[in-house]
Amino acid sequence: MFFRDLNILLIDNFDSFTYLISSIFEEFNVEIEVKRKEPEYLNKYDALLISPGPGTPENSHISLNVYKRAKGKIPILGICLGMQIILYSEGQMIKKITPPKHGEKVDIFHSNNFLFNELKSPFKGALYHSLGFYEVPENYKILAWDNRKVIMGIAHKKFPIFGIQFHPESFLTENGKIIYKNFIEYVIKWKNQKLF
Amino acid sequence: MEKSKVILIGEGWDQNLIFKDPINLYFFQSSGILTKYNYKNKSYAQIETDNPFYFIENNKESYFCGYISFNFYQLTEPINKNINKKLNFPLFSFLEFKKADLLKENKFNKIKKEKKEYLTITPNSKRENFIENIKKLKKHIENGDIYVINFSEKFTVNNFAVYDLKSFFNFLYKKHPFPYSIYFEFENPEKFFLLSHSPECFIKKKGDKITTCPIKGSANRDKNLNEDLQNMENLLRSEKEISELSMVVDLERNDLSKICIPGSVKVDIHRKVEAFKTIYHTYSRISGILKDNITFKDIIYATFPGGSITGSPKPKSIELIEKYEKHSREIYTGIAGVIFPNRDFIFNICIRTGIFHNEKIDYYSGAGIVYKSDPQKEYEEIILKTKSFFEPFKEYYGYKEILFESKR
Repeated sequence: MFFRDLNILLIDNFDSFTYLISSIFEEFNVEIEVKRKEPEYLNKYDALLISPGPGTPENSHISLNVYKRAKGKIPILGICLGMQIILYSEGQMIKKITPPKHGEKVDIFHSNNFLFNELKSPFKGALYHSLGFYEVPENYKILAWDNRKVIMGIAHKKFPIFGIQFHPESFLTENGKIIYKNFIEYVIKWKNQKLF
Repeated sequence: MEKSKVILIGEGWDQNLIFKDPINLYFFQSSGILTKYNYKNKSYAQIETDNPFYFIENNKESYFCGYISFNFYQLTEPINKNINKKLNFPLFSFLEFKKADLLKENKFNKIKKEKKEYLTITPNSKRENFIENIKKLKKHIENGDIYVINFSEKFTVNNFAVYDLKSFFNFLYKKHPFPYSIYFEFENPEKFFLLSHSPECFIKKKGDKITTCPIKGSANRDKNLNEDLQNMENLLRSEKEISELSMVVDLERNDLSKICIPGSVKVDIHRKVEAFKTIYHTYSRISGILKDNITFKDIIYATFPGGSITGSPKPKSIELIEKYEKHSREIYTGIAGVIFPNRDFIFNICIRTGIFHNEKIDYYSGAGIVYKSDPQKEYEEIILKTKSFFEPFKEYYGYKEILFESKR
């Protein structure tokens, strides 16, 4: 597959999954820039990815700023901490999940959003989180969940903003790459038609 | 054998090799200065360079044998660098050789002398404090700062007269034939010996293929066959060990993805049991195909320190290791190995590794801490692992018993 003319920004929250994510996008021939600092300009990027990472959304200042600047302008996908940053920005309270799930495979159920095209429900997904959500703000919808009812996928009702709590890039997730491919296809459509 | 400075023994190295008559030694200190010592002229030269490994790229006919200390993370990982712990050894030392010899036999002379003494091992911190720190790390896991962390203790043996270590190394290998065993003696800037009986491979590079084999999870072997099999089954079924190794596999996939062709990084083996003489380990194997023009430096900066001995995410884990471990790890959990003239290389992870210097032995053991860890149990395991390393000292040096002296 060739998506040569896309340029995606990936904000790295000092995580140990970031290069797995970027290498999947490179595999699809997307140009991807990994940054740990806030870039001066966003207008050269076609989409924003917010990486997983340690800690809480409130301390992820760089990601929070970049998210606010990109919101409504380009498609955004937050992964794990990345999704938490999105919902935290929208005022949703984050909760401690007990017991936390780290490096574990669970069933992920989904509502057939395009992000999950070609994936059955449930499918096996990898979790690495201590914090999470059971609810979303009004302007968001739930795309996926696990059997504890912890939210595993979200989308904004109006803007092209998406989040997933699990890790498609983990080797524990079945066919996880498809989710990133689905996102790339969406970004291409969005770029060509300015959907939304 | 007598003149050798480096001995590599075990299946992991492809060949058992010895190295003698080094031409140069390159060592890099935490101040950022690279020093070259020339054996022929007995002269030192300081080299200013942006690439501390430039000599590896420049001397393509030579073998390099050496170690990189854990604390070299200062150059490879972005963490807060205000750590004022003392370092005794260079961040790396590499000996340059023109040739390697095959190791023909693995000889040792046992010390006959009957000693009445005890071998006394002193942990670096009090038991209660160590266990308290494990509890604090579990809090960090609960709060989402990290998912898994490798936490270690330092042990010191004082008044150990250093003699016959080469022979002792060979004796230890007979007792614990771990596949990545390596012996070093360094004279500069100070004299010390490194005896590593490691079961774990950090990285093997062959042509454009790069492989790493992280170990997580262990169980003791038992003389009773049923018990022995039961121990192995328990290890395979342990949810804690399953998730711990899985986390390290994802971490290693991430690190290899920095330098490998997208899509080429594969998990070749996941959670296979390796049976050693005294212990079972579960390990995985991850490999990838290197992108063009990737140098030794690129590989080290992308992957060092190893995932199994730090934690995930790696930068935060290193920060917490430095915060909660009282000691500097130095060579422990660093890497040691060989770079061949074709620039293939093999490095182990320096666990089960003793550093012998100034009539002292520095030894370290660690445990993987996850949400499900029991702090007491993890501590007991660290003590047991340490005891098992020192057990053969009784037979070889004639010590009566091994004692742990509690820190006051």
